[in-house]
Amino acid sequence: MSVRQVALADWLSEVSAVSGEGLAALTVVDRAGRPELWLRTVAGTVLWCEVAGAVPSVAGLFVEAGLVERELSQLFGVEFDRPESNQPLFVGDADWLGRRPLSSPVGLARRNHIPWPGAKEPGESGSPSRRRQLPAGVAPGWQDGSEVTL
Amino acid sequence: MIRGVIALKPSACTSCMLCIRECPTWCMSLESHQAPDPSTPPGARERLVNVLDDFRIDFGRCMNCGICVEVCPFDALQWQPECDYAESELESLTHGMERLASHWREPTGD
Repeated sequence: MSVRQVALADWLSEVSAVSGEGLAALTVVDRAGRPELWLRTVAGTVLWCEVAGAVPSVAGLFVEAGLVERELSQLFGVEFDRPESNQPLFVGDADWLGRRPLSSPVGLARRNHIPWPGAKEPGESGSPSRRRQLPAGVAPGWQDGSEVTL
Repeated sequence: MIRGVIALKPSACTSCMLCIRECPTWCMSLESHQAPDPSTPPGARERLVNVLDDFRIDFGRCMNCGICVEVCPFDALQWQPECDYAESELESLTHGMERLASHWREPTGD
């Protein structure tokens, strides 16, 4: 299985070259606010590119890619140069899905509004001290994405 | 092993907070306080122990990952095969300490 990074400008041409192999997976990996678009063909070739700006759509190469790109655009916030690929796929109000729920700078909407239940020390009753409001390793400001440093 | 509802054995829980902190969906919470240990021998220095007041698991958020069951150092949380805890109100999906203790059956050791 070959894994190859391609430049965003070459994304369309590189995917065209392997389009005969059949699309197996198209997804986004979001590393702390730096989204990467990953594509895998049925034959096992893996291509990926860093997303910085509008991504060329591969919906012209694979019939099923149009739906997948709509899903990635809605859940990760990746923008495609084809307007049909930027239409949301899932029906649901913003409260349930939240804003771009799978992109890592944005905290899960369902978990945002409750305080961390583990803030108290064993045996401590009453409200915990303000200093200990987050789990270990979580940067302050995680809920609104303000802590992301690239 | 069937992953149904999670049961709690309150007598085994020391309020160490490990399960609460490791739960990825933050669906568990507990209340506790410190009190003098009743089994302190007379004349010895007073010792404090954690006393569990309340323990809650919100099964509307629980994703059945089992991290809490694995991480408990005192085996106070166990899987039970009951899967039929559907409710008509969202709030009823949060099981308090009494209900979690009522699910408990001693593990058979397999």
